[in-house]
Amino acid sequence: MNVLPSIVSGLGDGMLLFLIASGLSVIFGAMRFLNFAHGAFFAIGGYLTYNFLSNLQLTPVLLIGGALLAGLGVAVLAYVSEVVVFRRLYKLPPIDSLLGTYALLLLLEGAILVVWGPNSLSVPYPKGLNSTVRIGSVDVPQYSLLLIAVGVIVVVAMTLLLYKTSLGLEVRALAEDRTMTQLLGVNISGVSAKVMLIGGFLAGIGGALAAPTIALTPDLATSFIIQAFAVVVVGGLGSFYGALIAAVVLGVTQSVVVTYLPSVSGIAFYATMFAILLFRPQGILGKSSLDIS
Amino acid sequence: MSGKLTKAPTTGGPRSWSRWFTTDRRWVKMLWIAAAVLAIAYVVTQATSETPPSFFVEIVLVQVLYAMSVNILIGYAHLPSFGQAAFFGTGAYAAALTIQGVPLYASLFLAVAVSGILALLLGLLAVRTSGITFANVTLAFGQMLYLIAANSDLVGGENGLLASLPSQVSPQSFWLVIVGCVTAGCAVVWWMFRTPTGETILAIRDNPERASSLGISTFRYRLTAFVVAGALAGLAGALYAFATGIVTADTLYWTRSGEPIIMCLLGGSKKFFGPIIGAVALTTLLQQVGQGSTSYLIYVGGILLIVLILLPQGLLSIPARIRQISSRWTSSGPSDTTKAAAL
Repeated sequence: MNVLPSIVSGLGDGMLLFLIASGLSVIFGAMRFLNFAHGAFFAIGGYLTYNFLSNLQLTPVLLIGGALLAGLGVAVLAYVSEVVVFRRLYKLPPIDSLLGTYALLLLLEGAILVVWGPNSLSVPYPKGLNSTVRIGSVDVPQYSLLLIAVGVIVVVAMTLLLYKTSLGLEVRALAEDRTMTQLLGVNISGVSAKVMLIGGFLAGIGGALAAPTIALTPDLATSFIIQAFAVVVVGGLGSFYGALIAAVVLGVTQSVVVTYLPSVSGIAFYATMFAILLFRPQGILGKSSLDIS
Repeated sequence: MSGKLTKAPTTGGPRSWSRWFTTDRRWVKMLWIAAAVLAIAYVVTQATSETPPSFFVEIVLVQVLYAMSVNILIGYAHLPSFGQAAFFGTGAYAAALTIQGVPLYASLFLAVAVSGILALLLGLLAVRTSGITFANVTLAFGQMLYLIAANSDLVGGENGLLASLPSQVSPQSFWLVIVGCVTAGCAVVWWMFRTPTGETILAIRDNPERASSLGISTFRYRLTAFVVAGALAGLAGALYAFATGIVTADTLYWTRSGEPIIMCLLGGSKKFFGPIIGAVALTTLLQQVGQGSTSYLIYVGGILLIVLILLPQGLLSIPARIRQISSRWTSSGPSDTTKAAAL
């Protein structure tokens, strides 16, 4: 038995996690703000895709189009949340603001329940991506390859954004030294709204691309956000590349363990998180000074 | 400290009712006495009546104890644990597993002991971290226990275990057990933060650097708080198991850790009675809305958001808010606002 297929599908799952976690992580870097409601953004992305595509003969192009649309929808939602809710939470103590985002998560989960109902919905795999492809001597799932490709595109795009634009410069400056950046006249609420928009867009795309691989249920938001938190803290709070590494490590670990030791599958994920945090509380690439207490 | 303030000279004025409300605290004392008398009367009627005591009130009391235990961490020790369901659930499972072999009091004791020991073991590792990392370490631990319980046949997997009371314990006497345990648990928290240990925990909360530079082992005191909180959460879990008659893996799921935190912040985590008010308010609200209904989560989330934004100190800060606002109306200078802040 070859380990490659489970590594590839683990990489695919890791990329899904990364799509949520990258937004969370960049927002944390800029705003010192960890957002539970991001899980709901992800779930709503999946549900919107269901609405866009459920009656169509699904092709890869349609799925990508639906994902982009869902991403835009969620980006708008994230922007509105920032202006209406998050902006009022920044000045609260960290635990209260965390609870505030948790409240928004519950609110959005309730909204999902009202709009889409309690039953599980599903989006089929698009035609042409529902089987495996032979690489060398092993078969790997096609859909995972798509996810990996999307992941690579997002990493490149975000790198360009962070290092080649003025918004990226402001985000990095905020992560480095908040007070100084404010003194230099950077408009924090503007940066925060833009970052939230981008994070929401990525989470929406993540939810859309995850839709074929999972059942859409209202508790998707609560179950997925915990895994995304795991990625963000294991990678190091506020570190974009840390989130990438952590998503790959946790996704692949999970996938390999599911293949060989199915009985401890979910536990391995949290055990990895638990162990990394105890031995390196600041995470893989994190700076310990960024932690808030 | 409020006693001194009642003697502060009041200059009367167009809004003297608000002065009476804010500075004359006798009405508060009378309210307390009335509430205590009503509560005792209620406990006695429930224990002596023919019909079994109200299930809903039992659950409210259990939630009060759970929220009180979590507030040791949220309000007093500043250890934001998102994994207290681990101890709540462990207490529930311990009670359900032992009740066949031992009497009720021993089963409750074992539940407290097991979850306390578990809290000690986790605390030895986790209390070294703080802030968001601590929240996530405890969260990961809780989720591990949840997955273990949900997948293990020993504890019934997804279906869970039955936790039926022994036949010699009548619903009426179990009611008294709940009242006794919840009162005792709250009394422990009250007493704990009036001992030197508790005062030290508060000092560490307010300024950890100063405390450790004075030679205080912050780790040891935080660990103490964590163990007490875990043991009390275990007691709440055990009572919950017997009250509902069943234990499922859901008692360990992370949203069950979030609930009592909501209660603490809703009532006001800096005050002793905050979690009590919060637990009663939230549980009652949920019962009114109906746990199964689709709009249930919208209510919980919406109310929590509104409270956090408009009343960041919780429902118990409403009198202080009124004082603040009324002093703005009467515009009697800064001395009034400082008084409001001191209260």
